[in-house]
Parts: sequence; C-alpha cells; structure tokens
Amino acid sequence: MISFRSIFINSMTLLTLMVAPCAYAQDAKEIIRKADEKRRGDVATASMTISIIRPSWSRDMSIKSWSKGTEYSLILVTSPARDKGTVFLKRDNEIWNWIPSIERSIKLPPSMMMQSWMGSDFTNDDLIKESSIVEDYTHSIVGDSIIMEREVHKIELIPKPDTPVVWGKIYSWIDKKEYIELRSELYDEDGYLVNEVKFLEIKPLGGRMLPSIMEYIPADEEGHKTVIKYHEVDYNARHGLDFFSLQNMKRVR
Amino acid sequence: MLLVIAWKNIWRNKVRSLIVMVSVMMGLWAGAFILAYVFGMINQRLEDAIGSEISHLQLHHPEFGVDYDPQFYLDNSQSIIEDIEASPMVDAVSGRVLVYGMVASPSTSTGGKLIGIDPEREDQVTQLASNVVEGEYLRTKDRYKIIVGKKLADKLKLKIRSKVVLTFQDVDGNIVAGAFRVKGIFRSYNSSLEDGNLYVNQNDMSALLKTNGQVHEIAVLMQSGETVNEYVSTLANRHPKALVESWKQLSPELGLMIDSLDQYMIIFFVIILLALSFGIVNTMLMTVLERVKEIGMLMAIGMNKIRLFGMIFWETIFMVLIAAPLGLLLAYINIHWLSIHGLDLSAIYQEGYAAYGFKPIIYPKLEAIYYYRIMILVIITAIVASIYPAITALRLDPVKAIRKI
Amino acid sequence: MYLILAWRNIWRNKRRTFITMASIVFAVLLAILLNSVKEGVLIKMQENVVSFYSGAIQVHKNGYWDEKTLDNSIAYSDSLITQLVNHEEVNVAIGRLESYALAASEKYTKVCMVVGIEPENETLVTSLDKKVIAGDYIRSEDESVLLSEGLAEYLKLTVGDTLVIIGQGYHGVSAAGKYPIKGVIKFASPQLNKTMVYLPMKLAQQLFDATNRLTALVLDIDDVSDADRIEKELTLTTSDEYEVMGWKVLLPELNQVLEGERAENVIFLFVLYMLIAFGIFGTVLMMTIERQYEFGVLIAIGMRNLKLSSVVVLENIMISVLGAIAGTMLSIPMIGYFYKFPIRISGDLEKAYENFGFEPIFYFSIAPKIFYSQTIVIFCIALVLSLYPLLKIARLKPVSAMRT
Repeated sequence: MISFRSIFINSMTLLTLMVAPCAYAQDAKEIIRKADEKRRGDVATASMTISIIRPSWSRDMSIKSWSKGTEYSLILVTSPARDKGTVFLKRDNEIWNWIPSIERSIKLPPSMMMQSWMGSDFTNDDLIKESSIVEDYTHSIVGDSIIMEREVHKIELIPKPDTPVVWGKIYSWIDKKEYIELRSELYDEDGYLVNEVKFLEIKPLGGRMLPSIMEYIPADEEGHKTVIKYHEVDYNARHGLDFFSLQNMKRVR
Repeated sequence: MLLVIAWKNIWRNKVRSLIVMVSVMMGLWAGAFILAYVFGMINQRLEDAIGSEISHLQLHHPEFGVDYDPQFYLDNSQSIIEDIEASPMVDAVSGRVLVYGMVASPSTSTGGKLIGIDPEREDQVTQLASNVVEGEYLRTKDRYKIIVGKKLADKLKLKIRSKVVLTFQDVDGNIVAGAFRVKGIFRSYNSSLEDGNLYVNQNDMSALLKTNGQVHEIAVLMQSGETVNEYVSTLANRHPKALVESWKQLSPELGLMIDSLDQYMIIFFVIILLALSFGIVNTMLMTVLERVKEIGMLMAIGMNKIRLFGMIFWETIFMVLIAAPLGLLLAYINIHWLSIHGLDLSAIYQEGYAAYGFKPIIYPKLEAIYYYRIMILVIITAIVASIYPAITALRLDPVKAIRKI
Repeated sequence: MYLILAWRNIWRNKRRTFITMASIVFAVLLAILLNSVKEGVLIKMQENVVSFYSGAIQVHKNGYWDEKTLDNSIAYSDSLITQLVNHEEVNVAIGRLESYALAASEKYTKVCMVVGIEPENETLVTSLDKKVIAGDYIRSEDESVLLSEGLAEYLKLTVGDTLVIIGQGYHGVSAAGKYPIKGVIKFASPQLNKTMVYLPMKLAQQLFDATNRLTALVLDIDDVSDADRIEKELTLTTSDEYEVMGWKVLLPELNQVLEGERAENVIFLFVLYMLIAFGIFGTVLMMTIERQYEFGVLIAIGMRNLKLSSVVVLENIMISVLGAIAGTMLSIPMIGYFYKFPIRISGDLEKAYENFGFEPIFYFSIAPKIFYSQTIVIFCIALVLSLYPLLKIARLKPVSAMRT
C-alpha cells in the first residue's frame, strides 16, 4: 500500500473533489466554493481502488474509508491479501494502526507522522489540506472550453502570499452546469507544469453525478501515475464518534 | 678566574661557540613550537570536528532525545541562554527550535530537520553564514525565509527565492504548515547535513510550533575545549531540569578519535624532544673532540682536572645562558605571529575540503609556563650533553692529545 | 684509489667518524620511529572507524545513498558478488537489508533501524557477536532478533520477550512482524545503541516482502588504506546500475578528522627533519673546522682541491651509508619491539576503547616502505649537508688554515 498518509489524502481528496451539482455561475470564487462545498460535508463512506503505476512495476490496493469532517477518519485495507484487514485510524491528532497479522494496534509516534510517503505521486500539500482551496487563493475565470463534451470554466487560482502552498498557480477546469472539477494543472512559481490531475468516467456516486476516476500524473516523471478509482460513495452514512475508536478498529469490516 | 677563562674561551673560537648556541636555540624553538603546535592542533581539531554541528556541549529537555517530540522544550530557555552567555568561559551560545518534518517543493517532498535559529548567535556557534555559497544568510528581521543545503536544493529543485512548504506537528500534535522562501543555500563537508538540515528564523518556527519562544536545544561553544567537562557539571547543577551533555557524550566516536590522536601527539612530542637532545649532544661531542689538542696542552702545563672540568662546564653554561633567551625570544615571536595569522595547512590537505569553505588553519598557542618548562628541559639537556664530553676530555693522555693532528 | 684513501681517512679518527655516524643513526632511528607510529596509529584508526558500522566499502544500487529506500535496493546476484570478490583484495561481500521502521512492545513504540544481516559474515566487519551483552547472537536460520540495549530499555523488553516491527516494505507494501528477542547488544555509540534491530537476512526479506533483495553489499578488504583505490577499480568494473562507495564518503566527519591528522603530521615531520638536519650539520661543521689544519697541510704539500674534495665527499658518503645502514639495522629490533609490545593507552581513553570493543593500543607499523623511505630521506639530507666541507675546501687558504 502507499502508506497510511496517502490513504488519508485519498479519502480527503475524494471529499474535496466531490462537488455539489447545483446553482449557476457567479464569480470564480463562488464556482470554486461550490466545487469545494462537499469537502466540508459531514460523514462519508467510500470504497476505492488505488493503483500506483511505475515504469517497471505497478500495484493495486483496495480500501474502504469512513470519515467525519476532517478530524476523524478510518481506513480499512481490503486487498491485496498481504495487507488485508489493516486499519488506520486518525483521531484527535493521533494516528493508530491496527495490524491483524500480529494483532496489535500501534500509535504512530510524532517522528514517524511526517515521514515521506513512498510510492505515491501526491505531494505533502495534499496531506495537510489545512489550506483552503477557497480562502487561500485568489480566483479568476480565464477562459472556457470543452472537456468530455462538457462546457467548462477555466479558473486560475493564485495562492495568496504566505499561505503554505507550494504551487505558483493552479488551473482548474470546472463544469459550468454541475460544478464538477474535470481537470486541474498545478504549476510551480516559474510557470512550469508539475502535476496534472484528470477526472474521468462521470457516473452516479452517492446519488450524485461525479467522476469516478482520478488520475494524478507528475509532469516530469515518465511512466509515473497514481490512479484512484471510486466504486461506491455514501454521503448519508451516519456514524457516531465511537465508530472512530480503537475498539472499532479491530472489528470493522 | 675560571669563569673569565671560560668566558674568553667562548669567543676565542666563534664559529664553534655559535654552532653550540644555535643548536640550543634551535632546540628551544623546536620544543616550544611543537608544543604550541600540539596545543593549537588539539584545539583546532576539536573546533573543526564539533564546530559545524555538535558544539562543545548541548542542553535539552531530558525527554527530547527519546523521540524528538517538540513538546519537550526547555523551560525558561531564554534565561538559561542568558545565564550561559554571562559566563566568561563561554564563547558563544545558540538556542534552537527543532522539529522533524516534511519539506515540500512543487517537484517533490522529503523529510528534514527543521531548525529555528537566532541567525547571529547560530553563526557565532557554527559559522553557518560562511557556509552559505549561494544567496545570503538569514537576518533576524527576515520573515519566513529559509536556508537549505545544496543537496536538498538539488533534490527539491530549489533556487534562491523558491518557495517551500514545511509541514510538521506542533507541540499539541496538530499538523501545521508554513511557506518559506529560500534565501540562501549552504554547503557542508558532511553531506547528511546538506541533505537534512533546514534553517529558518526562530520566531517563525516558534509561532508555528507554539513553543512560546522556548527552544529545544541550546548549543554552547566554549572559549577553550579544556573547560568543557567542568562547565558541563556547573550547568547541570545550575539547571537541574535540563540534560547537559558534552560533545564526547553526544558523539563518543568522535571523542574516541580525537582523544587517541591527542595521546599519540604526545608520542610525537617525545620523539621530537629526543631529536633535539641528540642534536645538542652530537654537537657538544664534536666540540670537545675539536679541542682535544687544546685540552691536552692545558693538562700538560699543569691545569688540574677539576678546574678543567669546571672550565668546560662553565663554558657550556655561558653559551646556554646566551642562547636560551635568544631561542625563547625567537620561539615567542614565531608562535605569537602564528597565533594571530595561523598556519595554513590547506595546501597539504589531500581532498578539497577548502571547497566547502573549510580552512584547515592551525593557531599555535603556548602559555608562559610551558616556555619555562621547555627552557629548563633544553638547559638540562645541554648541560648533561656537555658533561660526557668533558669527562672524556679529562681521561685524555696529555702527550697523545697534543700529538694529535 | 680515492676510495681506499677515503676509507682509511674515516678510520684514522674513529671517534670523530663515530660521532658523525651516530648523528645519522639517531636521525634514521627517530624518523623511522615517528613514521612507524604515525602509520600504525592512522591505519588502526581507519580500521576502527570502518568497524563502527559502515565497513570499508559498500556497493548499493545507484542513487541509494541519496535516497535510502527499499525501492532503491538491488537484487541478490551471484554474478555481482563473484565480480566483487574476484577483485584480489576483496575478501568477502556481505549483504545487508536496511530500513527504518517502528519497533514496539506492548506499551511503547519507537523508530528503529531494522537491519537484515548474514549473521556469520557480519562479524567479519563489525564484530557484532562480541557486542552481545545478554542472550545469544543470531544465526542465519533463526526466526529471532537482536535488539540494541538503548532500544530494549526504552521498550522495556529483554531476552525472550516479543518485539513487534511495523513499517513499509519493498514497493510500499506494509511490513509487520513479531519476533522473539534472542539477544541484546550494546553499542558504544548512543546513536546506534538507541536504534538498532538486527534480523537474519531471510527473516528481514520476508518482513519487507523483499525476497532476495539487499540494500547494500559491505566489502571486507585486506587493507583499509587501499579503500580509495579499490573503490575506483570496482567502480570501473561494475555496471552503472551500482554505486561503489568507500568509507570516506560513508563517514565524512570521521574522515575529516583523519584527513586533518595527515596534514598536521606534515608539520611534525618538517620539524623533525629540521632538527635532524641541524644535528647532522652541527657535526659536519665541527668536523670541517677540526680538519682545517689537515686540509691546509694537504693542499700545501700539493694535493689538488678537486682531489681533496673528492676524497672528502667519498668519506661523507661512506659515513652516511654506514650510518644509514646502522640506523636501519638498529631500528628493526626497536620497531619490532614496539610492534610486539605496543604502547598501551591508559586512563579514560582505555575505557572508551573497551566500550567500542577495540584494543586500547597504539600500533606501530612495520611496513617496509617506512624503513627504506626514511633511510633514503635521511641519507639525502646527510649528503646535501656534506657539501659544506667542499665549500670550505674550495675557499681554503693553506697558510691561514694551518695557522689555526
């Protein structure tokens, strides 16, 4: 598996990217706000497959995730067999790891929390997500085009000074009608493309029309790609705080 | 009377006397110089080895070393720093806020040791500013600027003014992040420092970490390496809540090497002393040999052996008394000059450490007491060296001696 | 003819000849002694340094040193190992598989360095078996681990307890296992003592899902001082896939100390040669003064300057050769003695040495190079200095010379 962190990221990214299908265009900020709205959503469960693709090898893993806001989340690895049943729990700034093969749950110490996560194409920026796509950037509509037969706004996001964001700018393409993000490009401060994110195969997920595949492609590393494929999403799940507990880690299926 | 003859004898054969005197002077100079050099070297080696990282001693919260948890900062660290700074034994002191975290650029991210420093103090302790090879060193009023190592800069594809994001856990365990702009790039002979250490202003770091202006680490550079152990125990008594460790405790491998080298310097020193003694003895032996005829003559005309011995003895004393102060003066001038200007060894270094801003310069230093010791040693050597030839001279058969060509 | 004359001359005044010779003998003795201890100590120190952990030379996948992850590991390859060991001076190539992970007991968790080793071979480089302070050393077939003392203390574990290891394996798979502790090892270095966990190679490869993979091959070589050269030779012969690194790259801060030492030694040698040169010069000068009368007489009775000079030079060469030979001969038993009964280190340092598992001894080198190089250096110094009498003879005025 990529690592516990990237899994959090994935689940968070998922929430970030699920966008509300309503209303009509106002200004750029409003469009982004609407696209981002569901990130603030309460509880969601999802199942997905993450594929790490490298020039010489690739791996797939399946996970199920539950989350409540950004404070609580629980992730269960369902395949490959070697990792099956492994659970990560994020709660109160702590990360716990349950490993069925040795029947132990372990709290990851602070020095480990920030270790780099190998194998994945995500940047650290994805991990924290404390930065708000709405508040930390200034937005402007810079054009429109058509992606996957949909009319989209091209929106430029420039980080406000001193925000903890590494990008120089981001272009985001958002469906004009349903506020679905279909693509984004992340640039460094010299204007070079660093990463590209593609959203594919829009279909009903959790009662909404959403892209079910997200491809994360670093620009300068040939053959590297991370693909997340969503199978199911449920926005109506109701889980209390006791769901995100150490006891539940051992039980969750 | 004997003294007068001895004194006159010295000037009768000026070349011979000069040789003896010069060899005594040389011995004095060499002894004092080598000793000063050994002291300078021990000091320098310590400074080189500990200078860029460990310093002479460090203070931490006792729990901090276990897992580098940022909540274990030193309480009252500012007053500890002020207290240390007030000590006359201390050269410089620097407080650091430390946390292990992630550093990210658009191209990639990696783990690193994030160090919040007071730029001026840190430079006094580790000469960080002189290692900055691109851009500029931090200034106290800089906000959210960062100094990174060359290797890290290459890995993250950073240039001057590039933006990086640092992410780490604050003292409460919350994940916090801050954006910093690269102000300078440093090099280090130790590639792991170039790879892993990042320096920012302490205030910026403190605000993000919520350490209330307290620091995790206080590094102290002493005036002299000799007082380290003494000061470690002083500090441990004065600040019982802090863990005070000398560089030897922090890096015993380095301690082992430096201590061994210091001990083996002593062997060198002994060899040098032997060499200078033999030089003097040989010269003295030759001198007496040259005087066989003269001594034979004096014996033939009825000078008794005790007086003859006394004459040779006093000649030696006079010569040493003239040579010793001159030798001392020479050594003093030489050592004093070098203690200011240094002895630059960079030409002899095999590998290009100078490229990293390291100058292997040794500043020989010698306390007054050692000049006296060396002088006494050399005088004793010279006198002992003169006794054997004098005795040999006394055994001469006057008749044979005179006949000798 | 000149030879016989010169030979007779030097034995005419035996005492003078012996004194001059003695100055050369002592010079040779001291120069050899200094260099012998210098080489002996430095080489021993290098050996000690590489046995801390790193070994003299390591081979990794290219790029491993900059980014130490299991993904930058190499596949165990007989052909690579054969290739490395085929180098005459490489004795053995020992595999290691290293990765950071979490070590945990029931209550405590800490970051540790997990090292898969070939237990039987590892001892050649680090004498790991001698560092066991409780329990036993591991064998390659064991399914148990060695834990460093500091880590054991922190985790409150001891021999027989179970250690849990959690981390990431090859290609980011999850790695977790629990193992009985077979032994506790103590390192003098607190850094190592706090972090090390050793597993038999097979077990480590299982844990990290890295079957047949290694992060490093540690080479044991005949002579650590040849590491630079062997590193270069191996770099040329192995494929670009690999990086070959000597201990100087692996341990830059310790190398800097040793490197500084070499530079500093030059000053000692310089002062020693200066003293030696002056000692010899003093005797040569005195000899010249003493013999002025003789020279004067010889020239007065018609010996030509050139002939006289030749004879004097021959005399000096003979004395220098005899002195150098005698000095070298004497130095052999002396160095032999120190080699056999080296100087023991005492005091605090002795304890420090023992903590590291080293013999607290200053070694003397008996490399032949030292003997002949120093003999030659001193011989040359003596020869150059013996030119002084020639100057004197050239300017000699027989009448005034005889009058002294």
